[in-house]
Amino acid sequence: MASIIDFSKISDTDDLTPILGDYWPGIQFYYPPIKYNPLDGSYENMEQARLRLQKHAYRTNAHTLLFDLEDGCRKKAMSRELLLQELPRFPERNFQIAVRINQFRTEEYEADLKMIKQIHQYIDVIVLSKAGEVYGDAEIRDLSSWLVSINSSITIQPIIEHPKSLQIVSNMMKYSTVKHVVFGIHDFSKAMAYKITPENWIVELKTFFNMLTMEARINGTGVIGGVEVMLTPHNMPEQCVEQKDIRRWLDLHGDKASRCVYDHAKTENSMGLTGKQVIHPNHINLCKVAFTPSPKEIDHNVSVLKAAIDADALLGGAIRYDGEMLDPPMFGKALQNILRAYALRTLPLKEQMFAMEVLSKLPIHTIRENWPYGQI
Amino acid sequence: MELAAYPDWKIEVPEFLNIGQACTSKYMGTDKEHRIAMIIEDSDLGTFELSYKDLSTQSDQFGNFLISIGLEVRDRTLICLKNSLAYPIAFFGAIKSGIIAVPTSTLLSGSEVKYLANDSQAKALVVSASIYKDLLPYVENLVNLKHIIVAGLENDLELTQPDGVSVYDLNEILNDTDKTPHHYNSKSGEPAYLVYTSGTTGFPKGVLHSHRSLVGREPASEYWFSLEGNDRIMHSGKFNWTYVLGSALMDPLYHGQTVVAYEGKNEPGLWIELIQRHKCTIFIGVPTIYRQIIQKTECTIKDVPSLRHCMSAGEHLSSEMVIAWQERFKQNIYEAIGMSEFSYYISHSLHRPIRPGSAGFVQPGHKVKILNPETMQEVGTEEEGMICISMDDPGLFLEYWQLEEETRQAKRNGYFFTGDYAKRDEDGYIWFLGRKDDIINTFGYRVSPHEIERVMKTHELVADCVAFGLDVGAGKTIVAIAIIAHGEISNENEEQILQYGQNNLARYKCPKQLYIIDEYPKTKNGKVLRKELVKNIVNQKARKDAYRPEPYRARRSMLFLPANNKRYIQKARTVLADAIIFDMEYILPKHKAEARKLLLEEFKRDSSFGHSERVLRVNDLGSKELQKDREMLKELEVDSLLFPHIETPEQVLEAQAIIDSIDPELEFMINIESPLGVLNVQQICAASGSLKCIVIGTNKLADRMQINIKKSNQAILCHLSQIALAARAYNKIVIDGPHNDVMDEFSCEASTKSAFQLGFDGKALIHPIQIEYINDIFTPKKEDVEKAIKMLDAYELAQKEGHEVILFEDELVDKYQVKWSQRMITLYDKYKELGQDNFL
Repeated sequence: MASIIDFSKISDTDDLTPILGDYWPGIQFYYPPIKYNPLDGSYENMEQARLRLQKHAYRTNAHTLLFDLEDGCRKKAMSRELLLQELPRFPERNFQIAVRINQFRTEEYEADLKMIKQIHQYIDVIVLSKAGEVYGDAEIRDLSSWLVSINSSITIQPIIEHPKSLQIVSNMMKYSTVKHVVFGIHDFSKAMAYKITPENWIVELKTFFNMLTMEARINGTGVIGGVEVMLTPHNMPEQCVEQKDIRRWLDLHGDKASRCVYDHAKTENSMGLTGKQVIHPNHINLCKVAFTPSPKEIDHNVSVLKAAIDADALLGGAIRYDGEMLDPPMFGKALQNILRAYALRTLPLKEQMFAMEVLSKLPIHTIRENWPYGQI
Repeated sequence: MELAAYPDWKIEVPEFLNIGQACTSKYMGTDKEHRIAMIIEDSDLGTFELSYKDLSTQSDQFGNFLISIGLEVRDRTLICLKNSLAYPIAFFGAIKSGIIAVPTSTLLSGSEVKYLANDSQAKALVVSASIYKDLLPYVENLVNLKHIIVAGLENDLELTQPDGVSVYDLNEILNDTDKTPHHYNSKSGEPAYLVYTSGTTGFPKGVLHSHRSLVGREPASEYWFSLEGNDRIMHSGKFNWTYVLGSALMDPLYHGQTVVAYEGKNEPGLWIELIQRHKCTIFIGVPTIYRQIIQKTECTIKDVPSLRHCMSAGEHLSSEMVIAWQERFKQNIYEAIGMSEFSYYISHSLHRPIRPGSAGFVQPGHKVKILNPETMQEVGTEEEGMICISMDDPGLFLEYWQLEEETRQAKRNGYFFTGDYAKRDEDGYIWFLGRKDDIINTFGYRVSPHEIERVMKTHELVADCVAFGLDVGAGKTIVAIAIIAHGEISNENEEQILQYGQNNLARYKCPKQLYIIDEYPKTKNGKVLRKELVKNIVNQKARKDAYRPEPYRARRSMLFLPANNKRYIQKARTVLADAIIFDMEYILPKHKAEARKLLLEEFKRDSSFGHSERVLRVNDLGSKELQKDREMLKELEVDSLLFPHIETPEQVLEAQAIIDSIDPELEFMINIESPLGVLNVQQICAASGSLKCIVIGTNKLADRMQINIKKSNQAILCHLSQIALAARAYNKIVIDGPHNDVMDEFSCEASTKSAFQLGFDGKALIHPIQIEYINDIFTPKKEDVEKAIKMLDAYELAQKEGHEVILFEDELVDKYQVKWSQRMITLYDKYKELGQDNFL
């Protein structure tokens, strides 16, 4: 049975969001609105913060710029003032803007909402700290209904940083405002009294990670991975995109911490995560390339699918390709990889249209299995 | 002397300002829109004019075009244009759309342009048609550069299309692009243009300026230019130079004046002729031009009655020249000083009498102080201090491009520290003393080179003079001068000149040593490279003592290619291998004649292979084919010959004789690729002093040993070490053989690492895919080089205190580590100069 939507009529100017869902949060860079300078023990003034924002935030290469009003923010009122003034002045951007607000029903939370009400049109995502820890999933319900009256396009990303939240995560995922959840590994491990290490946390928290990803898959929700605390002294150049260049850089220039951060991001990618939060600018490129399929990978996936279509094996049967036997689940993975590139804004238009062509040949349940993020 | 105080001047900085818009579109709809904005005199192409209206429209089109091809606000566009109308169109057009314009000189070499393109991460390059072809090999395969716009293209000329870059014709852009203005509404503090300093120290660094710098130079319009309603300004400079960008492009156009600029060969009489022809009222030149006019022409003010104001900047103008000009042209030359970071802010002006030799006064509106950089106190009259500029001065640059640490060091405590030293005399005139680096510290006295030069240039035999400190022993520096003389100079004349110095300068300031030279090493903009000059003189001295340093040649990656494959040969012109080995030996006998024909044809068409060394691997010694190779070599311009299958010292001598018969300057290389060759390697290396380089034929050697080294070279490791040992013992370069399994990147990388660890200088290769990793592994890492520089500084300091061994960052450092570090820095600089590596 072919899909009930006629994908063949989709042109390269059509919005693919209903089919493929929104772009993913990808690499979320925590941006402190007002920065502390440890050298002289002072905070920036408004002008300095504004200049830094124009210089760094305008052209971030992360997928999401995440303004932190919670834990990492001491000058909360000043930070809100800065966002009120500056978010409307942002030039055209190809990344999302998220704001991490304070815990539900605290004074700071109310102040945060007041700010959002004034500049909601410049915000894409609200990241809610300590989600559900006090009032359960009602926190999401309450915030969602408030958002309906303000701006229904803003989504909520609850941070799961306590076992209680993990227990009710499935309920939180039921709200249409929740497209992705964040695994707050440091607070979570603290609440569990687990002693995690910067090098191995991904193994040490594997059980909970798996619980989260399984619930997320069932609900068609994305999961955003944990923050790395290791400082990486070197910045991987942006031109390192292909595996060969990444390996060359890590091998000859990167430090141990860079290799470790990259490995973690690679693991999170293989677990199907839709994003990762980072706190250091040097982590952005490292994690971005680990998350994003490279142009060569995409070429390979496209040629696998083309071979499957040519052999009429997309929905059943198997083909020999480049020394491997491939069948529909493998084709699904190739398709997922292509769509992952789309969700992380790197898929060229030609390949987007090819992905649509492949989707048009699949029944709806297969589309959902492979890509649960759309509305069909 | 009583001088009237300069008025208070507050520079008003508007919230929004766009230099492109302010200099080109401001006069649209006014009487001035049809006024000529610019006249270009090109010695080959003729005269061209552009009105303000056309400049506004065409720069709008250019800006719109950049946006249409995907450039975004704050992206960079490199402008490498001759003086032409395309210059203002491209420069202002880019800025109008919020794109940062990066002007650069057309005199730069291809690799220098490549360095700037990489450093600025420019997405587009605007280039004059006449230099496009020469630049092409350097601008292919750059990470960011995706568009090239060629200006001044003739209709029938077809352009070679480089890989991965789109090429456009500026004429077509100006015919086809939308003319609707879409100016980027920039804030005054947003970046507008990025200039590179002329590279007097180390590598060029970018200096980023914002839109507000335009209003920051407002005081100069009255206190240096003295602009009136309808001035016509003749400028002798090239637009790319910071000072010319301001004084010939932005400032006059901002004030609605007409600029006349010239492209072509510089002749002294020409400037007078151009001023006459265009009835110019203002002339702006550099001291050299003024000197040429005075010394090589008889012209006077009668020849140029329209001229009412003359200005000079760029380098120091001698008082002798100011006086000579006053005599002949009945007017002053108003000098100004400035720098890439802050254009002409100290100058002479109509408002106060000029004092030849001094730099004048700080223009009103600028907050400039002469401070003792240690105490941060202002120095007193006649005391030397550093010129410091208040950080909130709108004319000041924003930052050094992507050099946060350097910016932080230069901008601190509320001031920008210029590094220039000066003093004020009792009337407040500022006297420029020189860069911190230039000041000569001789036996405890600090002496300004400019002061010495000023005096020495007044001697009748001295045409030009540069003073510098010459180290003559530990802690001993004497004052020396390098002069360009009028005519021949005898030993007696030299004595006379030195005597003149003694008569007119304090004892500690007078030069003790004199060098006569033909010309000074200069930057592309004509500034004297003092450090380079001292280095040359020291080297010359050293050479006289029979020391001849070996020029180092990069040989990290040596790419073999079959000489009979046209496509590979053509491709090799743009690959980043340090050497290309055209292989005549490892091709089928039936293809050899055809290969020779092809090589001759290709080299005749273009013998340049970028930076790559051109190596010919000839046929075996004693073979008939080698005779034919020798015939070909009479016409083929290669750098080196590689002889295969060398097994004995006698063969080395035979090969040496062949090289001597062809051209003794050719570099001599051999292959060792057999067990016998390995066994005889010491005698082979000892056989000839001319032998430069050993390339190991690892695959053939393994084959002869009947082993497989596809996955690892472990089995022949001891042979490789043996060859490396012998090569080092006799001071030869040693290159590892190629890795044959092209698809297995991991094992290629492992074998490269192993070669590097064995002390090889490079590795041969057979596929361009292997180049990057190989180049990278043989290139010292930036971090290590930075540490080495710090270590050398610490060692030098300790040595002055009599220590031979020091502890640096928990490591014991002696002269061997010092030597190692120096080598690493040399290699790093060498490779960086090639501009080939993204990770440097």
